[in-house]
Amino acid sequence: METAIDSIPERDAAEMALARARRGDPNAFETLYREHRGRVYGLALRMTREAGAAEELTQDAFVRAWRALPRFRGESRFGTWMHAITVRTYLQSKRSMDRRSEREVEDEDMDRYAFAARRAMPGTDIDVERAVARLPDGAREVLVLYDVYGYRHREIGEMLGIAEGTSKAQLHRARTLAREFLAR
Amino acid sequence: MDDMDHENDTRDEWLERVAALPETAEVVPEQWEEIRAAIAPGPARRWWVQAAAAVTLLAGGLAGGFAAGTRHAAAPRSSIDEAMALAAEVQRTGSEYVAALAAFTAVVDSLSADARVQGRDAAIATLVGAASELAALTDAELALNPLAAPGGAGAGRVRF
Repeated sequence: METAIDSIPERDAAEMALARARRGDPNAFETLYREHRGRVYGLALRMTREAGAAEELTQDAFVRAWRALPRFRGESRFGTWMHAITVRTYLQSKRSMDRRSEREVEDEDMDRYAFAARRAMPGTDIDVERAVARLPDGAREVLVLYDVYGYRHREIGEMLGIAEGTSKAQLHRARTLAREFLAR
Repeated sequence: MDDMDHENDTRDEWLERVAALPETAEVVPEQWEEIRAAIAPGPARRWWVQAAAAVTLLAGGLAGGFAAGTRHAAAPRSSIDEAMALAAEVQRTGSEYVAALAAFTAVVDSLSADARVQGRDAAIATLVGAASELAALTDAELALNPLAAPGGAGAGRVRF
């Protein structure tokens, strides 16, 4: 919980876990995993729109984070850094998937996604989740990062490897399209 | 004006609903055991042991194959040694390629987009080159021994 992290003892515990994990302590890294897995999985699910792929992405992201941890300089929060790794891992996976097969998202896919989203996030607004999930990749990625997770266009541009202006344009397109989907 | 206001209301309602989506999943699959296994230092060491074992097996197989072959047609010793040395070189440089790629993958998150693309392209180009040579090797091998190809030129011609 964000509020728990913000309390001094919890924050100190999180910083200690981070410091120990950076020195190669897997038990400390488990603490970080348990603290952040919900947020990483939530993003992974909205990026991949498929429970199995989201699990795989979450696992890959944490493994990569462990390997890159000695170089984590603390310029951003660990949670933000984890999200950046998750997005990069997702993009790499998507590129290899795109080479193998490209297909339209169908209603069945949306039903499966809605089921997975409801199971993972029982209180979520399924109609909005569906509308967001129907968006084209580029638009959906920006909208999720900007409107759901609160990142700024500059940060989103760095994560997705796009220009800040492109991020803004994609957000406008995403909001327009998603409102149309929701109205149907 | 009314339309515009309505549009703004709709947009605001929509944005509020999106912003209210939960950031965190409450029910998350338990994956720590898999992650712990993946980050354990053991597999890397085991990989090198396997690579070393593969070199031994390859060299042993080659030696056995050449020994069997020379019973019928004695090949010059120097060509056997050269072939074994080349095969061992393939194994060694192949292992180095995989190790270098693993090292690149481990640091890829800290690299710039340009560096990532450059590294990936180099890795792919090397792999494509190797695959091309391997395809030529397979063709050459099949030309020498057509019966080795399932459904190939020699298939169906075997008579007992």
